[in-house]
Amino acid sequence: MKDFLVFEGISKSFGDVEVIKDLNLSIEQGEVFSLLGPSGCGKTTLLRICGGFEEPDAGRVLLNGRDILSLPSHKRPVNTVFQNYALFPHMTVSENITFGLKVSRRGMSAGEIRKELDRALDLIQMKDYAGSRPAELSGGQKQRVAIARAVINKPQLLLLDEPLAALDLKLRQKMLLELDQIHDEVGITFLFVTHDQGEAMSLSDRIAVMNMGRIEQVGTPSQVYESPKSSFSAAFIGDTNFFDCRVHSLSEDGQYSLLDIDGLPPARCYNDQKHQAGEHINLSLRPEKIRISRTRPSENEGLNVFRGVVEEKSYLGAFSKYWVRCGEWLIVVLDAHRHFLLDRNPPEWEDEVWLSWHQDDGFMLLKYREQDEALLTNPDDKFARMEQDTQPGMLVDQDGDEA
Amino acid sequence: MKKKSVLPVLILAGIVIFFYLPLVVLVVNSFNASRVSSVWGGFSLKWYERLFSDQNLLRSVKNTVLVTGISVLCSTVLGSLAGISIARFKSRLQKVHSVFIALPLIMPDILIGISLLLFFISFRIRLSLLTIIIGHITFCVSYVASTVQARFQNFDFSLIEAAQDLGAGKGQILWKIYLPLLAPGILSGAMLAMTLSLDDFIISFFTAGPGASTLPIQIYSMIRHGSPPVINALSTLFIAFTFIVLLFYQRISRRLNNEN
Repeated sequence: MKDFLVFEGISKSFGDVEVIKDLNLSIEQGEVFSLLGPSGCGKTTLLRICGGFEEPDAGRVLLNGRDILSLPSHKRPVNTVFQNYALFPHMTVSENITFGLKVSRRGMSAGEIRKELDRALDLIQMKDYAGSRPAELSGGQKQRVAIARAVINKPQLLLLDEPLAALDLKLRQKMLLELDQIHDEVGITFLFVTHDQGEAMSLSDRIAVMNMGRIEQVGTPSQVYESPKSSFSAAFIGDTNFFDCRVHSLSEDGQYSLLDIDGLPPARCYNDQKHQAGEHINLSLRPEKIRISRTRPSENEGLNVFRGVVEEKSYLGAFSKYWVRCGEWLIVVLDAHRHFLLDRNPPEWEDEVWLSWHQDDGFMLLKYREQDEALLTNPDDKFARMEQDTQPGMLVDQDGDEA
Repeated sequence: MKKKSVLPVLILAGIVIFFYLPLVVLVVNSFNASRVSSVWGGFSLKWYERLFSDQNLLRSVKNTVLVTGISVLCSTVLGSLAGISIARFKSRLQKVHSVFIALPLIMPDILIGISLLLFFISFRIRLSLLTIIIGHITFCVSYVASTVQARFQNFDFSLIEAAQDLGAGKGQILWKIYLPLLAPGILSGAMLAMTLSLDDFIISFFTAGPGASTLPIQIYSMIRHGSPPVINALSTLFIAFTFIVLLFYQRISRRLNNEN
């Protein structure tokens, strides 16, 4: 069903800080939908509004066509998996899981509750821990109990607030798979909040990239990655090289444009957002879309070629990462190792190389707003430290657009 | 090898003597047949016999049990609710509330006593056991509220949100989440209220009606015109009672803490 959960014109301020600004969003039934953004972008606030823990200053939230804002949180057909799990420390695993069934007065008999509990324990594979207390469980186990405690109530919508943030990398990947399986089994709509693009990409059907209380882009993971609509999206999801440039001219049909980049030969790029000649824009180029070679690539329609020198190289097994100096630009390139590498004489330090990229692989995006940059590189970000083990260099490489 | 200093041992011995010697003297003297405490007249239980035949004294024991029981019960309930609401809601009203709750902790007992007395008189409320109970509740609430509040230091309020999220109403949250988690704090608050109410003299003295004297008031009047050895016997029983309560308290609070 389309428009299963709809946010209409949601605004929310805390004091003078406007956390969410006139936000509109529609989520389909049964999908895993991620709100992805840096901390402070308003994603958790949006989730808490949905769960009934915050009230928006304006706007409506419709679930199945019904406005749920007037319902107190304990009457909403919505359950939450909290970031710190919020398991009740004075109850056993079983008591935690059945808490929702017992307090909601659904008139379930003890036998029925028992049956539901068994099924839930099976789902999370924790039969042996039914009598344990939360303090005796590992992080991953607590996580699973928190999920079971929520889904046993058969909510129409499950909210997950950074459910994996407190786990280490290995466990996180395992839990990600388990979450996916649980979603397949229970079929509930998941609204998932995360700052980790890897989690969002691998789990979600669709992603909303949020920034400063607004939604920058909504789309499937591949849409968002392959076709970012803003500099922020491009930078926050995956690695990218940014080039300041000016639109020199458009092709006759307006589909392509010729870009002036300081110190580099003019480049042709696909112009899907109808930028006009004379505009200043950001050219975004994903590192893996750039080919690197010692020899000049054969002339080819639609191929842009830069010449540069390898300044730094790191070998990462499946691929190598190059930092190539082209005039004033330092360009990051990922070269996948498709063949036996040692015979192929790959470029090394100080080698002169040719970089080439296809005109359809670059994106012309509006310039960064200053605040965006601050958000992306904010050292106070409480997740900044955790981010390092998710993926090397998943935030923007600032080198790319520095003079 | 490092030489062990005897100083800490000496200090410890001094403290023990300072605190407990008077109690030992008191207990020993309660079994002393002689009326004069400095002379040992042989072992005797006659002061205890005298104690149990003193009707006034027995009545005051009954009064004290009543006053302490009711005021502990009421102040534990009220104080716990006050502590929860102050810790949970950070509104301006609750800030005012917390100041008012904390006030009796620093206010001299004599002020509380006098103001209560004036209050009762001006509203023509007859002084009785009830007025003592009201007086005790007013200051016991503060102690319970502050111990319960202390329990909130590392309290995870997302537990409350989780309970709400799972469908629990306000009453269920109180019973199933707050109460079990705060139980150790509530218990120690109740203990504190009990000891304070049990030995309160000043406030009871001001708010007591005729014939409604509590144990401390009775002891005071006995010292003035009664026989000290009976008081020794009474105090010995008092000490025994306190120790038993303390023992129970430790048992229960250890169990509660283990559960959390």
